Amino acid sequence: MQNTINSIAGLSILTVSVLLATAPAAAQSPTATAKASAGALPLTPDGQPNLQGYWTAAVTGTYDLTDPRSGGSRLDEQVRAKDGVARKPKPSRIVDPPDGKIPYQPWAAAKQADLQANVDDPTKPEHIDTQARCLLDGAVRPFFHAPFRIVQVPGTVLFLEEENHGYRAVPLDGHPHIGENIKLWMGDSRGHWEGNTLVIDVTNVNGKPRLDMVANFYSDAAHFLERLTLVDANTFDYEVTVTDPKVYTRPWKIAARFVRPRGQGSDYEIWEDACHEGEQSADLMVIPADIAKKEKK
Amino acid sequence: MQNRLLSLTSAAVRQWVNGLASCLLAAACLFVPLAAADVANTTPVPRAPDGKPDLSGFWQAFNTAAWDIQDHAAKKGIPGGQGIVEGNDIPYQPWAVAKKKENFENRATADPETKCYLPGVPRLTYEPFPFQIVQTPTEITVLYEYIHAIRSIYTNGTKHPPAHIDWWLGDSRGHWEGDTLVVDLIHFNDQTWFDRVGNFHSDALHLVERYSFLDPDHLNYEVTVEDPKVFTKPWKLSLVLYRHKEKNFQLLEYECYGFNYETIYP
Repeated sequence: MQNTINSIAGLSILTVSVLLATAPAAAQSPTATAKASAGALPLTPDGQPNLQGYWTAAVTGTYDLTDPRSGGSRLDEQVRAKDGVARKPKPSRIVDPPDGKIPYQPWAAAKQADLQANVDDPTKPEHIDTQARCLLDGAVRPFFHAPFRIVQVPGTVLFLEEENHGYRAVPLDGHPHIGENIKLWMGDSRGHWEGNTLVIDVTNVNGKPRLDMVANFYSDAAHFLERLTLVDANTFDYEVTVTDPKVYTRPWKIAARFVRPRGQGSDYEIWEDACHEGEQSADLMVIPADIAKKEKK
Repeated sequence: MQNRLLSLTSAAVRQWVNGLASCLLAAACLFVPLAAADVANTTPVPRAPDGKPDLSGFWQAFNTAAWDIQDHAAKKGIPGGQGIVEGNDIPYQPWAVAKKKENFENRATADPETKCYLPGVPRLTYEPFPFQIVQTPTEITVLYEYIHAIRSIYTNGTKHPPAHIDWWLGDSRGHWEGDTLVVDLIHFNDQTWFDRVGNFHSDALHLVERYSFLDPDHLNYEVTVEDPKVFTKPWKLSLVLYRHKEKNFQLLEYECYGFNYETIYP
């Protein structure tokens, strides 16, 4: 596996070299070069397909990967349900397996179900979503949480979140992953271009960030292989294959389309969102089970 | 003049051409030959495609300012160090001298660092953790390993947002003066300190940072500190930032408050 990754990385260096070699031509006639090599897709000055700027998932929200919506819109639905308005669920973000479910091992399915059952009335600290404590969201969840920004410079792609000032720097130079004993909240990302697709290999995850608000989870053995394919200047398709032999019975896959958010033009600025500094309430949500029982009586 | 130009590096020529282009607009052409000569006489610095010095890379301060920005002898577990404050004295107003003393006495719990809060500027620069600079012509983004802090230093000519905003890291607007990146910062809250011994400021803090190359792997970092609510006059601090040269160096994470939750989210 490692050898495969290395040889892919080696290929990407070749690709980058070829792109660099054609850079002067790109400088003279960026449009012509883009048409010739990338089907009229925009390129950065150093010849990468241009993913820069602000993006949002066409369907936003990290309430539940299998039933995509935001925590806020779920509350709205609950209010509307009281008025007899039925909700129209959107398709699961999970495209493989075909049933749209995460292929948990039995113990993991039980754990997730228990956590999900306690989301609304938490009785233990672990019932609280990691995001509610301003903990970093890992590699995948930020795509669905809120609009985010991509910055590209030679050799690096940056993902910048407004919420909780999360960031991920993805090196493109093909150097190996960090040592396996170093585990990170955001994981360790390495990227390379395959045509119009940015392929990112994410390892070294600490397994702590939840995937959504209903406690879908992974472990420190998880591996993410992400593919961002530029469709046109204002659209990309995201796909991630999640592998984790400790938690799932088989690899599974998320797919989603990303578009430009409204109201975030090139002059939009991400301003400071000091999450932890203002976080006062997460532990106050926890009502120990014995007290909760008494209250219900 | 022709010979002089030939001896310049291509980057310097680009700089000169850029200067010429802008001088045609600004009617300041007289200064251009001088500016070009200055570039030729300085140590070569890495340059971005737009001709500006290229600050991209991994940097870190290696001094003891995180403990105390002034001269201090070693204590158990704390290395001694020569301060980074120019002249060593901080011109506190009389009430602020007392406040600093109170901060020092209560530092075990009062230091915002003990709560894992964003540490403010310039303290973020000399926390003992590396940071990565990503530079484009319109913005310099600084990613810090320490609590995933991030700063966007806009170099696109935009101004600070109006009124007052309480931010932990302030609002950074930069511009180039020759080969020096000059960053103006306002919009701070009054919650952050300069170090672990209680040196502090108010929400009227105004900083001017200057980043300039000493050589390709060392930056001189100088800050002018102004706060009419706390100090009697502006003062300066300066330190050297070192480029990480280790093979395959990259940022890791120091998720300060995350450690509190290790057992909850195993």
